[in-house]
Amino acid sequence: MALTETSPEDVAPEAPQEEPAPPVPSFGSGAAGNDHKPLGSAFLGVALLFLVVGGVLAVLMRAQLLGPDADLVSDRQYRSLFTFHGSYLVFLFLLPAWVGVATAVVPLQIGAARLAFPRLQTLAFWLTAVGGMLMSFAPFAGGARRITSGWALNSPVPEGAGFAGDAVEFLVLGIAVVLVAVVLAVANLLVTIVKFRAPGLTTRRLPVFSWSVLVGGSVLLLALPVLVGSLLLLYVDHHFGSDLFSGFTSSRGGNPLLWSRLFWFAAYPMLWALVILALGVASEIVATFSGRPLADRAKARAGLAAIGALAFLGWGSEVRNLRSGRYIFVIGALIVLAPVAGVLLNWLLTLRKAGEEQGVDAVRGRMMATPMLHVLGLLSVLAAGLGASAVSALDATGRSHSNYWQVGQQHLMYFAPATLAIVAAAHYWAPKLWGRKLSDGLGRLELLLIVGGTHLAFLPALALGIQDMPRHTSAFDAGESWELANMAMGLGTAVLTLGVLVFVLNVLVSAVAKRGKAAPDDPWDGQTLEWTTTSPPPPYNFDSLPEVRSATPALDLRTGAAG
Amino acid sequence: MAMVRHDPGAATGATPVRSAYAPVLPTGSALGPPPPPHEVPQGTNVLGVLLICVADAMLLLAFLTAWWTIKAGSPAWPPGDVQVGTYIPSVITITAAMSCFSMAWAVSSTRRNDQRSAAVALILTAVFGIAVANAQWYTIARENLVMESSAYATLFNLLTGWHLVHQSIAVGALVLVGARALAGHFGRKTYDPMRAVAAFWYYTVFAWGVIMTAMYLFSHHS
Repeated sequence: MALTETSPEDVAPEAPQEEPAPPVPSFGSGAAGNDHKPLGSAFLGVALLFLVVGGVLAVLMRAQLLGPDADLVSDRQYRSLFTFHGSYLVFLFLLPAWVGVATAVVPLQIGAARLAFPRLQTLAFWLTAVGGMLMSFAPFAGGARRITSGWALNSPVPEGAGFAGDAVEFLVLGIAVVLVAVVLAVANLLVTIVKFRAPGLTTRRLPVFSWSVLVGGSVLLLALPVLVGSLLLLYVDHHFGSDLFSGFTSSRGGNPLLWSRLFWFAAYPMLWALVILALGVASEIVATFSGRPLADRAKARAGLAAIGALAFLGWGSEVRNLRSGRYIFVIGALIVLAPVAGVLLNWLLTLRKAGEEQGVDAVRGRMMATPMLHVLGLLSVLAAGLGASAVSALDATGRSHSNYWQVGQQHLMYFAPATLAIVAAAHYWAPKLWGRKLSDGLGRLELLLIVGGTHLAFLPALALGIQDMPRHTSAFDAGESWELANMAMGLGTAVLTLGVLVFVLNVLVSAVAKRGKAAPDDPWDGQTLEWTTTSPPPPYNFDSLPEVRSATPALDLRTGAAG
Repeated sequence: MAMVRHDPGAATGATPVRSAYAPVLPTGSALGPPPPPHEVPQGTNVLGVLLICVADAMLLLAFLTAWWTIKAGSPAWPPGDVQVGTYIPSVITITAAMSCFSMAWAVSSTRRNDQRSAAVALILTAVFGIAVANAQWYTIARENLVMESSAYATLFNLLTGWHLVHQSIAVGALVLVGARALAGHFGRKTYDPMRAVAAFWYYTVFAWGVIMTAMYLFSHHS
């Protein structure tokens, strides 16, 4: 064997031989492969597309109500607008975005090399894309003007048989396909969390976000199939004219209350699952930027689990004309708010303890980090949402469910916090998703616009609810006292949508155009396993894993406090 | 200048090949090996199938809720002109129950790597499964309930058809995994896919039991 003669000087020990740099994940590249990080980005890409579409639809809706007696769109067009606005944002933005964030982050957080079933997640992505396409055809198909029911699809099939292949069927089938995709993806994530955790990462040591995926995913796994089944019934009902959801007067059977019961049995827990995931992200960020673990991690985890369990108790509070057992649902809708408040208090306690341990100035400095500012914005929105939800649950008249109070309550409690948490998650985990940080400058601008727009749009909605403005009104008279609040809502919606556009621009600049500096491996001094690998991580995430001896292995590595 | 013989693999003075992917961790931190990327923990497939079965059961619950709700509000259930017998559904139930035993035999034989017994059990199970699917198809064709004729007809066809689809998927999965078992791909610690298919099979039989109870045993009222 020939040996090469070299001098010791020829060898440079400080310059290790390096393998080629890993490919940087980007939008779209995950759709064809099995690496979970670009696949998560692909889910996020689809979600952001429909976030923009839904935002534009909202601006059109609110433009109609900027002043009294407006005739920008007809009543039917207005009702179609809010139906598609709600459907796109719930089923094509919020759910796929959450699947995207969880798909990209959970394996990294639990020290796994991959998802349990990578191809299943790819299938779920393509099903989401197909469902999105079907739903996108709906506004352009025949009969689109008849879709006027809102995202809850109330009074779903007033026309009966004879509209095969029209807009209702595109919409119903599209939603069902997206929900099947979400169920498959969620099952995959749950198996990954249970079976692919790093050695030492016991269930008690699971990062709070992964715990929230476990809890929220379980809720979605139980709730969404009911909605899929209901949508299949609705499709059959519409396609064959079976009258399953029509009146008792029909000689062919049917029950007009069936749809709203089935829908809210599934949709109510689904909304709470979104809140659980939002709280999971925010808890993770609060712990990181306070520089210490959560004040009472066990209670935070118990709180999230309690929300998951109680989410199935309050669905009847959303169903109109439900008389029997209504008080049970009212109690359910009320007590589910308690663990949410508990988690928020846990954050505040964590920050207080951090101030005591490290000095207020040090903690205050970290509060100015962009992901943490997003969480503070989320906190302000959730606080308003909690109050609005409590009033809504206690309203014996039920009027708050049919007037603008519900618009304000649902947006402040579910939709806006979930959206803000997705934005915060994108900022926080961008180094792991795309190898670079999102722009802080654009981030602060988008935060100002999104949080400001949310408050400006939906606090006046509560005021309109107090004045009993009906929810689905497409115009109002000059004599009503609703003008100022409607104007504020229109302005707030425009500001909010502008904030969304800035956020999308921020993601495009960093993730697609790859502008800006590459992120360091651990830019935030994180506490969980994803911060112990490179930014971006290699295809199988880790070349080496720290030994897990607590819930904060990365923090242990920095402080040497493990054991 | 004296030249030295340099061995890059030697412990002293050698530079370890550090991957560009390797995390930068503090000196002295406890490092463990990375998880093997292609190793699948035991029970992964079974857990995945069980979760899908739970989700699927919730979908069935939506159908059955519609059945019970509409039935409760109907003057006659089934409608007066519809006569549904219980003979064929009973045969389906007995056949499905027998397939559970042959499936358990197939799983046990695969675990023991007993090829001959596994072949017999798998063929028997597949025949039972095909018989169930065939009888369900025959039921739909024989009753010939027009979908739009009544809510009963819609739900009857939907529930029977739903189970027919599941039974067909179960038979297809059994054939695929059975072929691998007979080719000797599975052993005592590597027969997870067979257990997963068996879990789905048992769920399918259970679901038929629920449908049978709801649709045939506690169906009639007038």
